[in-house]
Amino acid sequence: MNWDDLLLMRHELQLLAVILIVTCAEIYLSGRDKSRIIPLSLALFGIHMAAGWLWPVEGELFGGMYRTNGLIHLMKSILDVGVFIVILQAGGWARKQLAPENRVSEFFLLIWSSLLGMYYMVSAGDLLMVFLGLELSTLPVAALAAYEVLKMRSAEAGIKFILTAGLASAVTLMGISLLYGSTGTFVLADLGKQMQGNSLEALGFIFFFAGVAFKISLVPFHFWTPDVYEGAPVSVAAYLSVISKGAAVFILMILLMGFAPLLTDLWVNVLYLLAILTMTIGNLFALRQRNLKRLLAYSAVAQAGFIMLGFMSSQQDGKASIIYFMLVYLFSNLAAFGVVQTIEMHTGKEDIGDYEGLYRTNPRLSLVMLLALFSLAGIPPLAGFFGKFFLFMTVASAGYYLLLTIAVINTVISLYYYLLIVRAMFLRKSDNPLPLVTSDGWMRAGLVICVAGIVALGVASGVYDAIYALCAHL
Amino acid sequence: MEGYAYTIWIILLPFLVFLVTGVLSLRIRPQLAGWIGTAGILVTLVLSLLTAWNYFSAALPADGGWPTVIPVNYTWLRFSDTLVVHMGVLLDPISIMMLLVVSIVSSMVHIYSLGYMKDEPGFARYFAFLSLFSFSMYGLVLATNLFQIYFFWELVGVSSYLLIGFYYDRPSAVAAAKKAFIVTRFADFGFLVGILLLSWYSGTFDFLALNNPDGAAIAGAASATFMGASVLTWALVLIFMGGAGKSAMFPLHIWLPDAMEGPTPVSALIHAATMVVAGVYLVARLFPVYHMSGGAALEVVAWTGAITALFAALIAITQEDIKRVLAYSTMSQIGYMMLSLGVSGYGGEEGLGYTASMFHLFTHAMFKALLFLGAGAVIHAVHSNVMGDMGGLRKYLPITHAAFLVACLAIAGIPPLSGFFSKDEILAAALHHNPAIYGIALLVAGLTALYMFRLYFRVFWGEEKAYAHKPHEAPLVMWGPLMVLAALSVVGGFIPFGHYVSSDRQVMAMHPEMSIAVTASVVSIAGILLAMWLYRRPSALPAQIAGSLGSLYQSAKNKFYIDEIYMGVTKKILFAGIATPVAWFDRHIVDGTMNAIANLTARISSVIKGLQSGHVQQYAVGFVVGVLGLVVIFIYWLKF
Amino acid sequence: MGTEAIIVFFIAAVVLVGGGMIASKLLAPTSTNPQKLEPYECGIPTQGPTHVQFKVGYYLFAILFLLFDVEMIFLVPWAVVMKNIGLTGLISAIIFILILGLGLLYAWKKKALIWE
Repeated sequence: MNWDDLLLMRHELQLLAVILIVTCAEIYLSGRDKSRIIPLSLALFGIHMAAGWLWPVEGELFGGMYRTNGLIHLMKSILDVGVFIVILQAGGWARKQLAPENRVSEFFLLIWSSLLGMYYMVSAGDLLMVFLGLELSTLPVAALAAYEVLKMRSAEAGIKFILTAGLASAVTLMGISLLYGSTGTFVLADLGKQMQGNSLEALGFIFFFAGVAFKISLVPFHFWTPDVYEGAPVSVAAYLSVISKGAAVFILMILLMGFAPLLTDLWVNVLYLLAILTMTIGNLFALRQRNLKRLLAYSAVAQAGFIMLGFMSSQQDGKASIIYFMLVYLFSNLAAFGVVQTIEMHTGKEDIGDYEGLYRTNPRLSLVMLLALFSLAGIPPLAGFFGKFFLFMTVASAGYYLLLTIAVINTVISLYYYLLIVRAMFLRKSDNPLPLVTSDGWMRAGLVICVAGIVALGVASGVYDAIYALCAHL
Repeated sequence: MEGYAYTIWIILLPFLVFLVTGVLSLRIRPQLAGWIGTAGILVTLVLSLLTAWNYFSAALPADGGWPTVIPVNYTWLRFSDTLVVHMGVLLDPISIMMLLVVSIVSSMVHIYSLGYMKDEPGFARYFAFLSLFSFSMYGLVLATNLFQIYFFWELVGVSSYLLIGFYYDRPSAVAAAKKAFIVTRFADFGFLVGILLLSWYSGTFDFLALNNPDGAAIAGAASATFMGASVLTWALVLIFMGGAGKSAMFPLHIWLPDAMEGPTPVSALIHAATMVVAGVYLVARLFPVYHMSGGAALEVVAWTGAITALFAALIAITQEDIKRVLAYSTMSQIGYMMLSLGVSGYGGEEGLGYTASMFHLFTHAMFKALLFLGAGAVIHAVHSNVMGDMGGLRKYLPITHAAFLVACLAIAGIPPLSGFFSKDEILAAALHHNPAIYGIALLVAGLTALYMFRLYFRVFWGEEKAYAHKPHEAPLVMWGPLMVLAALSVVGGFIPFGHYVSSDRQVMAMHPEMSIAVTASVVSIAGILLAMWLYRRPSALPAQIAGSLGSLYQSAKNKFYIDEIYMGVTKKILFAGIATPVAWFDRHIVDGTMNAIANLTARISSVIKGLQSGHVQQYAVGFVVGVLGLVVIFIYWLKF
Repeated sequence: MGTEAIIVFFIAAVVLVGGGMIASKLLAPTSTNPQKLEPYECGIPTQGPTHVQFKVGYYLFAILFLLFDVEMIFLVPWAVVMKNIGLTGLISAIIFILILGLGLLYAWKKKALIWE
């Protein structure tokens, strides 16, 4: 092995270095004010994120267990941006709530460890590596979900997450073993060659798929989503809804579109079915929610269904539309979660009813929320419209018109509950609206990045073209 | 051709200024917002002049035609590989000419507004809107394709709406803003359908492809027919409908007089010099297509222009509000430009009408902006819009009086002022094409002189009224722009316009035709003398004449009852005949269906809510059932 | 391999698991009396709630132990082939140990090693 080869793992090594430095800082600062960790962590991760965008490389390591190329590089960079926004938005919360309890750096370390797992997952060239990455990305999140130790709901979220995640991991592992049993290999590249398209492989694939579907929260593997989102700290819910889901979507895309040509018929049909179920059930449940965190959880479930639309074509347009949508969804959803987090942190309120008349007291936060919700609903000219537009184009060009019709109907349903929030904020008057909330500088920076993303991605079509070009080879 | 990349900033800079002043309008001192806005527009003026200089001083290419330069063309939306929407900058003689018009008038109006709008509440907001308007207008004139022009067309409409309704505490201003928006929006519907028709058949939005003289892009549309005319003709007539709405052509003109509710500098900028000529510009932009489509679409343009010119001139004679007189005069002059485009051929001497129309657009922008700004100075001095409250103002407002006189002479077409040259060309073009249109145009020339000098004499001569306080001359920031525009109105006619702008972009020599020039001048002078005889001194004569004309005078004074006809049509036919049944259908059938669906959705969602119990064991069961369900469905049922 | 294999697979899974449970039910001798249902079948009756919380320190020690246990699993094969993989291997192992050492240091500073 050549030391230069390690440069292929630049993303992972950089992040590892960041983790080690912050651990050292934590040890060094032991017994002193830990809030100093926050700017250090943000700065280090910011550098990591910025450096991560540079020099995409292509190659393999460890006999094909690790692989990377331009597209994988882009996926990791997108995850980086998401994590950066999440920890920016968590900055004020960490200072206010975690620093007095001396639990600041662990928050960052756990998120980064999880991210490291995702890096290895999307870079895996081997089913075992996928599994290791999946586990490494899941376990820290269970700790994060239970992070607010004094809140019952948070503990509940943690235990629910770890139990269901354990089940999902077991089923995934079962699937991997079945795939190994029928093909005799773990290596993804060989897997495709060894497959014969028999039912044992199909069984193994479905088992494996269930574990990934758990992370994407597709119906019927989504039951944990609302409970965990509601109980966990908002930052963690945001992380779960965007980063965790994004990484799972990416690995699913790599596996299905890159390595499972013989099973194409199978997974297109599986996803066809699950997309319809997920969109519809997610939306129907979201209609009834009064708690914003639960509502956003179900909206995240429904959006996962929309993402599945992109899998209907394994051509370049399918891949590009998925990645583009993930990018758009990242900004929109994180903006919405950011606003909910700000309000919750300062007032403890998280119901739609509490948001009545918000525009009168907090015009800027309301406008950010408006943009985020409109983008999620897919109203032009915001980025969300183009995200959905490209997904729908993919479905249409693949010829699944029934699916397209159902998806469009679901867009309308989703518009209804997004507008419920908008109506509460802008049109309803309240006798005692929430007081003026001043968000901290980090949160503001995070929201500004999100809004810039929502607006700019809608205008800059060059982004889609660039992703489209990268998707030529997976 | 390289080196024009900076032109993108002509569009972007006003937008940035709009963002800055708009966001900060409540934070910064209003005066500062005004200065930022003015500085921004002056930079674009310099850039525009630079662009014009670079473009026209460069050597002509070998084929002798002015080139079309597209320095910036950003891909905005990609529908398919062939149908792509760009946002960019297109430079050719007419877009540069428009660039100059917009930047000069906009700069003058910005400077003038610093004085005119002083101490108004909402001063910063006003300048933010002005910047938004400038941004939209620049984007419109520099558009590279129909979609971009439509995009900015709507933006122009929005900023015009905002500016007309600037005094939003006045119900009449709000109503006028709404009326302008709805009427132009209605016309834009035709425009949009026209664009879609045209691009459906040609597969492109780009002007460069559409205007290609070989006609390849539009062949498909030209060969398909619909109701006895080619689809191309239909598309072009519909596009012209959009242009007619923006340019206040009969019968879509009703919004323009009411739009005078906005601040006077806004009227000068939007409703005299720039936005309202967008329709003319649109037809000129697509002129090769209009020409290639056969004569029908251009006949529509010509007659619409001629009718509007005459109709508006007749109304203008009877109006009492000076801004309304100017509004009708604007309509009449734009009708002139349309008429001239309509009678034009393509290439060489045939294309005289095209050049004349653009020429008149240019000169008209200068003297009409001057008239409005002058009227603004008068209103500023006497605090009234109505001519009955004015008289003998030449003593109090010497500078304004001089500038106004220049503008009146220019619009009446007295040599050697700019209006004379452009109007002369239009008359020449009309005579070659159709004597009837020539006759109308000549009559309108006389009427123009009459109503302009009626205005002039009644305001600046005549009997002095009892003013509440002595009228005083406007400050420097207001009369400065008047002087600049007056100078341009005097010398503008000597530009050898045919050298720069012609239908086929070749250099064209213009020869004034002595007979037409003399005829037109005589008619104009006759109009002026008539006005002088009637209005120079207070007399009962005008009232007697009005009385003897009876119903004709009354109907002209009431704008030929067009507004009433519209109201009648909308109330009687649209509301009672169509809207009420449609509303019933909507409320009971459509809403009923929708409510049924909504109820069903709500019912389903309340039934299935039991699935989410909160018990983690049941989640695990759901998970396993999901996996097994998939296995059963796909392995046993679908036989994988 | 076709559908039959999977049917066999499922049947085998159900038979093995279910069979074991049924077999134990059938084969095991059953006798019930009230005493058997008490938490302790012998000695004194229990006092207070039976759901006592264990000290979290147990888990911490167990996890730390596990960490170094796993380290040993890695280091033994490394030691066996150390001569073959040379300097690269040595450096890798040192980095590995350092990272683990950092973890121990962290636990130490967090006072996880103090038994209170």
